[in-house]
Amino acid sequence: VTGTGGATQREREAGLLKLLRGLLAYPLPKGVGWSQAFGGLLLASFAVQVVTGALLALYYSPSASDAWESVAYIEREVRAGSLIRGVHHFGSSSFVILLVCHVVRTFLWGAYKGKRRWTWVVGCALFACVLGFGFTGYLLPWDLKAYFGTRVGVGIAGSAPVVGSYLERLMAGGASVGELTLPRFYAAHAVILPLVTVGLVALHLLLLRVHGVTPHWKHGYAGSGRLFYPHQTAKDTALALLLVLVLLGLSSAFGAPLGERADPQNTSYVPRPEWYFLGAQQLLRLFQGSFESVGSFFLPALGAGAFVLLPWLDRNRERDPARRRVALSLGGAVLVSIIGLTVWGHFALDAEERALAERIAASAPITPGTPVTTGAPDDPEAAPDEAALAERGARLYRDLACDACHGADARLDGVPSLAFEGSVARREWLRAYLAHPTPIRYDWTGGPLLVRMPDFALKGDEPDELGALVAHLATRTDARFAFAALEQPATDAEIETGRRLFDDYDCRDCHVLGGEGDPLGPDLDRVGARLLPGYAMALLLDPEGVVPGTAMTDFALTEDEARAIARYLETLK
Amino acid sequence: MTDPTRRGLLEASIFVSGAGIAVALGLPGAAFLCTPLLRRGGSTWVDLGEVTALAASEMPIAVRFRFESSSGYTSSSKPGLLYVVPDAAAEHGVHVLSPICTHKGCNVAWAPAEGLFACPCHQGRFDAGGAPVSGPPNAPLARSAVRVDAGHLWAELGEAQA
Repeated sequence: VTGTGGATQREREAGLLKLLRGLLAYPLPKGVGWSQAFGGLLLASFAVQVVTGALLALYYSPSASDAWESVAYIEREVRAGSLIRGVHHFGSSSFVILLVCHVVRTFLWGAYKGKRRWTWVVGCALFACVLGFGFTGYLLPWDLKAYFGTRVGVGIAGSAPVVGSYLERLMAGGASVGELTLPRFYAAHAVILPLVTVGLVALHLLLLRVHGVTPHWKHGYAGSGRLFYPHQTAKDTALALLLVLVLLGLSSAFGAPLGERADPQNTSYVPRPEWYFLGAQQLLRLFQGSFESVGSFFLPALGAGAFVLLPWLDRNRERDPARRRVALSLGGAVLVSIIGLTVWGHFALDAEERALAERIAASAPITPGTPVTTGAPDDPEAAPDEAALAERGARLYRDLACDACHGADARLDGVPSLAFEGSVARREWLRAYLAHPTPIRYDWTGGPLLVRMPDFALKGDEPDELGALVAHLATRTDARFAFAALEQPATDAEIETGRRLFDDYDCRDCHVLGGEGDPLGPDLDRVGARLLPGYAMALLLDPEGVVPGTAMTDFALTEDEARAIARYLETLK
Repeated sequence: MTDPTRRGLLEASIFVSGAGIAVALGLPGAAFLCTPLLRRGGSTWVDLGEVTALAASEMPIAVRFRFESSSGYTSSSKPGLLYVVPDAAAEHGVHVLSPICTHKGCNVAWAPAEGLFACPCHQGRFDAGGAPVSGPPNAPLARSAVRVDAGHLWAELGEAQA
């Protein structure tokens, strides 16, 4: 034998191509084509999610204290960060859409019947994985939407009969969604689910390879003369390229949202799950009270069970849609119900958000910074029913669980103690602030703090909740903040000295005043309307003594210096 | 079976599409991945105290301080150490040396008996100017840039130290 002239095409193929052709070059039945591309597209989508997800994991930190910052870092600082995150975000939505298309196509073709029933069951498990990815991934940015969406989702699991409370605790990693939940969801999203999914996908594809592509009901197994590779693969990859380009386009046009950092105390936020869970949420709303578990557990469980067992429930051996009227009508009804519930859920949430916004607007007529004249004046003996008001305020203070954040045992970073608030803040300011809390402290980046004062939507009259709470706080005074020298009226010279000292000690290195300075410490704009001079003076003299652990520098000021600065700050109204 | 030309074209289209996907995701992905190469952190300046007092010392002074260090999305207050060495030839009468041995990164300490910086790990020695004298180190101790502001000596901490 001389030369290679006698070698067949197959013998000359290079290894990789040979592998590809050997595995995938099986004949396609007639009538198979573009509508079969959803499976390949899902595989491509999964690859896109794995690649973008692995990239995001390079910078993401799954801890409650850093998660939001790390996502913000990806968005703002990392090259192409917002693009990659956007592709991952829109990729999850397109995944669900493609999956529904894939299921509908499989259903229409009757491809779940007979020997292909286990392919269907494995596909159902993959469906569950996709929903699991969506649910666990939703929490990871740790913004308001993520936090409250997950709280609702875990709560739903908690309403399952018998095992609910155990399930909820297992999912949350503790009593409620919090610091311990994030690592769990991250592990599920980035380690456990991907591994399970890869295994199930392999099984799904193996079963496909064993049984072959479901032929068209009209043509049966008549060959088309075309092969899965390259004929179908060419269609699949062309569509995959289109999908990637669409995802990149969506990502650069809209980007992935990142809301305010999660704040467990926020009361002005309507939880909104990812859009593909809106239908499930609406189902939940339809069954309230003692029927709650019908919507949260029995109906979904029944639906999921019927979905998985479809190959056994549907005994009709026909695959031609024209002869499957019952199955098709039922399937169509289910699809329309799910889409209807999703749209309904969307509009119901919109209405709820509007209602909440109106409630907050109606209950907080005071805009921040507007001096309130209707509240009790600074003089503690002014109103005769002051004591009764303060007592109501004390109850309110307890009912709102203010000590959960402000109490001596529960001091969070950046949350002030309220132990001596009556000596700290002016009543007019307290009233306006409680009516509409606006941030006065920032974190080191100038962004919002991890914890933020919630808007409790307190009423301004009948009953005057704001007045009551302010009256109660006003009773919390401390003799440490009473300085005899401050009883004298301030002189212009003293104020001028204070202004000069404020500049000399570079207070703007840490405080913003008049739009200048670094926001490391509290904002000093209009500080005179906020703080009482006695507190300012005590804080200047001994920062650590007044606020243990404060970042405020002890400048070792004399009493005269501290008083002058306090006098100057008092003028900043 | 379809003719080989068509089959070849289809195969080519698969690789073109695949390459398109790889480029469309790969380029931003590579930039994303390589961000640490493209972004460099700035340096930090720290206050080491009154320069006249430091310059009056007879031997190097270990100045310990705390500084705000931020990397990526985290920031923390870290302890730091620099040696202020009296040096009549230097502009402000001192120069400032990093304590990090250039051999394996242990912290050197001033050994008054020898008049040298001694590294406890592999017995490396540096003179007061930071030059290696004996032992394994080949490179001198890093010198910090310094400036004097209102009588205080400030030294620069590089990105790696901060």
